[in-house]
Amino acid sequence: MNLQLLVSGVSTGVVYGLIAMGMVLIFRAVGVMNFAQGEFLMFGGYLCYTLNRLLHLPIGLSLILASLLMGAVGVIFMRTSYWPLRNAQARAIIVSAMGASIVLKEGARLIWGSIPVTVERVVNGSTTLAGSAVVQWQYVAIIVISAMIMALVYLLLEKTFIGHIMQATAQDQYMASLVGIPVIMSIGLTFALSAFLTGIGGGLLAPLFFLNNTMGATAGAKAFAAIVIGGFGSVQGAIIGGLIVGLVEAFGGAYISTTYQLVLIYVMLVLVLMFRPQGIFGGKIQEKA
Amino acid sequence: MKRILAILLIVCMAFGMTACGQPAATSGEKTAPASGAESAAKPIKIGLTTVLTGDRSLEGEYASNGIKIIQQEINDAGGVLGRPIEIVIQDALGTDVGAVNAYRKLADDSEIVAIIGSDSSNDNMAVSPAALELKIPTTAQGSSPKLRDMCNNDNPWLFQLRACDETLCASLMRYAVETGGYKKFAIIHDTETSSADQARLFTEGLAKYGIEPVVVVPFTTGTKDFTSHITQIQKAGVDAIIGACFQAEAAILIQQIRALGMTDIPIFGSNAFADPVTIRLAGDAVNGVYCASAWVPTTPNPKGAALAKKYKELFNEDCGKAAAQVYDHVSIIVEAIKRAGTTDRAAVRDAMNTIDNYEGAVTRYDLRTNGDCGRGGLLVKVENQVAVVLDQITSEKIIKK
Repeated sequence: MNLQLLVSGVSTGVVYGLIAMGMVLIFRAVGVMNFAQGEFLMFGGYLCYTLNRLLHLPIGLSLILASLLMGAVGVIFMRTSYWPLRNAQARAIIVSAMGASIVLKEGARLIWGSIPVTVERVVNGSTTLAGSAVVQWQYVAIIVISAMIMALVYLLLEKTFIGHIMQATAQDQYMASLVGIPVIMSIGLTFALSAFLTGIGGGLLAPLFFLNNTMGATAGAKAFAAIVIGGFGSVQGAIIGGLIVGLVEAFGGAYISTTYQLVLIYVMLVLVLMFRPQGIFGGKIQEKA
Repeated sequence: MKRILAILLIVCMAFGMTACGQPAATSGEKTAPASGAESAAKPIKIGLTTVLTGDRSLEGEYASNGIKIIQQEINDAGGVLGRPIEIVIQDALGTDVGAVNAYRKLADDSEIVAIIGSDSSNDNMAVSPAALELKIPTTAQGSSPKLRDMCNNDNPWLFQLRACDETLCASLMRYAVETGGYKKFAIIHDTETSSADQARLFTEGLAKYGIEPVVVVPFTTGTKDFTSHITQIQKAGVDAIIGACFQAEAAILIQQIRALGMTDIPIFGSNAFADPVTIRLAGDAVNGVYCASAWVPTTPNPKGAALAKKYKELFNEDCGKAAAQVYDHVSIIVEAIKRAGTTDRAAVRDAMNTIDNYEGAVTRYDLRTNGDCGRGGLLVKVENQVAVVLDQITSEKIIKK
């Protein structure tokens, strides 16, 4: 039973981690939380559905193409929702993101309809571990693929020239522009990477939880909780925070209350804010502030 | 350059004049003889509040499609009182506040004769005071016993055109205990009002046999991962699972119950468990699920079967409950207008109370009292991803003199 819960908690946790990572990248780049991040998850899932079920492409290829297309969606999102307001107050950008979230949600409903849809699983079937714990292979696939993507993103940010450009822009846009970094391109890349990360989560979750146009709201809220727990602005914090949220949800549901799963997450959030307001990995952002 | 612009302008003007002239000629042909009778041909308006956006927008999609079918059928047959009907739709947003706002927007139009409420008892109860205040005949798609009592006792303008959940839930529990022989049940349900209400009715249905559910597992709307919920059910060691929730959650729940090793356990569910959307999403896992449903597209009712066929032809989807319900609601309102011989709201309301044996697509209707007007439902089992009707559920209307 505990193993079953562990696998379920980790797999949903890594997806929250992916969404949270995407949110953190945008937060670091432009200093504002993207409240439409959950909709990237939904939109990525629907693009994967289009490629897999409507154009009959294999699921692996559909996932890759859908996440690349999400990169383009991220750039369009940046150009329409953030860039025109880049010199405005943060609250204007937040409202703009909320508006974009409605556009994405209702746009998806107009394009794909209200009937929930699904895509093929990356791996079918399940296995029984430790006698009675049934683990679906799709959960394992989510964990493995998400871990690989997180590792690749870490390498991209820390070890590549493009990553350094993105980090430099995130630290100080003005200084970055003075040393010749094309700021718009760098921010565009950050939004693209953020949408890519979150979008692939949508395609991975779709066969388990199905797609509908409002699925992003709850996932986005949990990812936000993950960021606060992990530490604002920290990529590692986003991953660890996502895992904590996933595990609290799974074990809290089984051992404390299924009705109050969400409440348990927010109780944890309040506790973190009371005793470690900067989050687990939140030191850096405090120094920056 | 100027010359090109001038030519373009002339072409545009010529095109514009031609375009303007075309409909004038056409409309002149149609309206000229009817100019005196123009007001007589003015459509009779009926309002519909349904959920077009947000979490429950599937309902709005079904309802809008159902409306297209019934509106065309009635108008092709000559309309009512010699006038066509027109359905005006407002978005209820899937919330009770949204439902009231949508209702009041429709009520502002004095030409609207009656209003059809959304497929939620909560929404229907929320609009009840407005219906009473504004005196507009209003039909409710919700099936809760509380709504039934409100319609019967508190609001003569509100009609519950649906079989009450009490009948359906009790019937399903009777089947599970008497025919299935099951004794140990787990109940898993959404905490939103109608599902929680259905879970309560399932519990009451079991209580008639002296059975208490071994475990009751509630979950909040939007839950996607049921591992912890199902783990609790596995620990309880039950013979059967009873579920109450909407379509998407029902499909995920069924899939996860099967995926976590409970491959043969019988599942008894609320309306949504045999819905076409649930069946399509859950795939093979849905086979063996039992449900007491108001509507399935495989209904033996001839009118319902014809509607299901037409819906499939037109929209290439199986007909959902909300489509069939609004189809019947419009038919009944039109029947009441016909009986009243006028579009006066009070006369239509009185005429509605005279309808007592009306065969609809979903079921037979008896409107002599306002609550529990749908007289039955269907006991179904899903086999090979098709909802097979095992029995028709009927109940006698209780009319207090």
